Amino acid sequence: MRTFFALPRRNREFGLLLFVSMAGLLALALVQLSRTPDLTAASLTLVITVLVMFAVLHIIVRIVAPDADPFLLPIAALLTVVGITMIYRLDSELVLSQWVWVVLGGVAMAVVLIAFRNYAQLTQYKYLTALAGVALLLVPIIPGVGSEINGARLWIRFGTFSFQPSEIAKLLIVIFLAAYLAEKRELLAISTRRVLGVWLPEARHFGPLVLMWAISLLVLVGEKDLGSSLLFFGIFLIMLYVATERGAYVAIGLLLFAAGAYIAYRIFGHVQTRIDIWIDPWLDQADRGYQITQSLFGIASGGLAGSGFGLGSPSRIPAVATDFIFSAISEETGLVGATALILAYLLFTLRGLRIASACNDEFGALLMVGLVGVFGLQAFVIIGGVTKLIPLTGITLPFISYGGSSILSNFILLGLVLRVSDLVRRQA
Amino acid sequence: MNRAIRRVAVLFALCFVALAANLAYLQVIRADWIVGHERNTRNIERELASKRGSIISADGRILAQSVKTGRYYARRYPLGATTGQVTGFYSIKYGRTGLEASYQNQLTAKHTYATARDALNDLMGTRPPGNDLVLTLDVPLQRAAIRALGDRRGAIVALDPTTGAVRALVSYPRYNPSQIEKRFRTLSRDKSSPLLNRATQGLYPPGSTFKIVTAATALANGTTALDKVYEGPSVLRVYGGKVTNFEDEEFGTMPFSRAFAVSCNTIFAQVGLELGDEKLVGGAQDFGFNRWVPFDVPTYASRIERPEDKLDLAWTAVGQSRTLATPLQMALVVAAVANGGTINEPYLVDEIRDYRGTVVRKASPRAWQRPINAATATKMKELMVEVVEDGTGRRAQIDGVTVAGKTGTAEPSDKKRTHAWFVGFAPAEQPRVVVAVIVEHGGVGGRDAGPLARDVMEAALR
Repeated sequence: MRTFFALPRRNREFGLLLFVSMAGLLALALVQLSRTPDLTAASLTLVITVLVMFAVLHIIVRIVAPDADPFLLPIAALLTVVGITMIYRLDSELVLSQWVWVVLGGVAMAVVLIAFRNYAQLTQYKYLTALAGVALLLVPIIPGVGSEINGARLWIRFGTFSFQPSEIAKLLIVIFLAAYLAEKRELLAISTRRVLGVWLPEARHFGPLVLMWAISLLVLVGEKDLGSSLLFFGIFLIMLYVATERGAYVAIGLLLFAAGAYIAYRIFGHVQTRIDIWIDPWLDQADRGYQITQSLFGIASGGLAGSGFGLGSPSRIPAVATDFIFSAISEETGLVGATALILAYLLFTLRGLRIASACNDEFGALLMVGLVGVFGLQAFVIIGGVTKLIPLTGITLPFISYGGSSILSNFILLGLVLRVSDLVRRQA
Repeated sequence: MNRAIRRVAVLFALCFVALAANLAYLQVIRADWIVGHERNTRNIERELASKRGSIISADGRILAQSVKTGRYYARRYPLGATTGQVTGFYSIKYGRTGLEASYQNQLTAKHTYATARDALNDLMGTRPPGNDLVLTLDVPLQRAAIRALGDRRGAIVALDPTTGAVRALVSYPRYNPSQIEKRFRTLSRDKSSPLLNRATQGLYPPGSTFKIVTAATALANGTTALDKVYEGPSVLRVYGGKVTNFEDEEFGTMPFSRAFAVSCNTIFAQVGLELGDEKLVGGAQDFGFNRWVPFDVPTYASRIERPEDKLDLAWTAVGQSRTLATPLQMALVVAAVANGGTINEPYLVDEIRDYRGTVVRKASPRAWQRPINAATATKMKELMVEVVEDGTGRRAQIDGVTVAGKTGTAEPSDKKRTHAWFVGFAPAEQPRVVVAVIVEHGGVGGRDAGPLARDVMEAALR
């Protein structure tokens, strides 16, 4: 029996967390100094309490998942601290509710780690999981329950409290897909009929997958939520490809998506708008291109080293604390800071994929691919969107953007990823 | 599955590298374009928070400076309208004009750092103070020119022909750049165009001052000579039309040099016809017509069109027809004569200094056009001295100084009262100043512009 302290992976994790702590305290101190000449402890407590929470999470990991990957928790801590700092800088009222959600997220993650000692438990109710996921995804469409914010109908509202169920749905659907594909992957890989020059498996095995596509489109049409639709269909294709290793499915999937997207472009004004301003935001700068061009002005003015924390003017960008928070970070920390952030997301994703490839059982591997895949894809879609690499679709930047449901779901995701990595290392 | 997972990993790596590459494109490669976009309002804030460079006259007077008021700097113009059209104005609402516009990058010290520390500070968000401009403009001379012009619409240019340094640049009506925020709407709607710098952007028919171009080109081409004798009737019939003299004067027989001194149209029509349209237009272009004048504040190009027929050629040679010139252009024509045939590029900014006083850039004379050779320039000088000594320009005489000049009484297209021109230089032996004066609808060149030019030359030589 190894002792509590003689865990090399956990000790490395602790070292990385110390580094994150210093960076986080420094960042928040800089934001505060940009406003008042004196540093007060009051605002620093914002970051200190979050760091204490991560220290507690570290101890819990040490006890219940001692062999988990040492990079994941510090990366999540870094992203969370950057998020808290940036939201504090943008809106010192907003940051309080973000802080509450971070703490709730930490609690949720601890519960996941303690409750699920073996992720195989998750496969037990896979269809129920799927049902719950789809229900959560589609519930905002129901009149009276869903509410529309900024042209997209993806919130449900209870009084003053609003919640974005698609964030939780994304986890449930990844769990379902992992379980389903692990069970059916061999059947799906065997082709029995040829359609249009492509070998396809029997329709009954394929059915649920076509359903996935239909749901994605329904999200696009019913909720006008381009981002979630892209995210669900993207993660579905990645998991399908990993499970079957068949490029043809990806090709068909992309064609289906392209067809759906083209029809949506022709039919729906909001989709058209997104594409048009992606092609040339300057044409209608004052109106439809306003948000993206403000984002580009901010990013470009950041230059190589950025304006410095608290010294830029990111508040000119609409929705800067949620979808456009990456633009604010790019402006104030420059190419250096923004690239570091991009690398942090990439590192998280690649660590996860590496654990997946070391995993002996198919469900574990697919779950890992799905979880870090949805995480990486979400980061790519929103960073690419605000920097005009791809058309803009409003989704949150994991661990950083302001938003309760997003924070909560990302902490749960982190708990699951740590759990899988712990078991994978223990098997090895 | 592992092969597929590896491929997914590669795909993610490529996607994220694309994100970083695109970000480098936005923040470094394309950054200047995006930041400088006209719709970008965040520059303004940054610009207002940093100290803009001062504009200082040759005699050390401050013409424009930034003064801190609270968080931002405000632009002040201590001399107001005296140098308003030269400095131009600087306004967040209404933009920039004059030197404030053309030297924007220097005045804000964009990408120019005095020390490594400034570069570091800029990187950290604090711009170093802007660079100062030290002008060739001389405030006493500028004031003398303003006094001379009085409240007559028109313009006066005074420059040093040996260098191209502009020493006075006056245009009336004028405006005070300190009041631009309050008065812009009125000023921009005013029919008398006070915002227009007439000296560099006013286009007028040059009238008889253009005879300098015609004479110099004809002498240079050998189609005429100083002693060539012409008949100068009061009316010359050409190609179904006629060329007339001012007040239909009858001159009789006289040499070319005398015809220049008395500004005889009917003789200059003949000189033009001898020269031909191609050479006349070519000569004018060598003097700078149809060319953009390189200068520190915006200029309009003076223009000459190819004559349609012989009658048009005859009128073009005497400076009417469709030819248009700015006062600055006419000063440069005279500068060629005064400077042995070479026109130097005109300039206003003599020195650029960083905020610590180190000279960043120093102007040096640069040849622009060389329309005539030294021999022709000497002949032209003779002709122009004669104009002032015993011709139409007698009113520009100064005691003890040999003045050279040429008068012009130009018919405006609207047939209102004539524009009065006088262009000249002094001292003729060793020219130090070239002056061009136009008084819009001011009357007769010698009588109504000559004394103004004399006052300015006198002040310049003092």
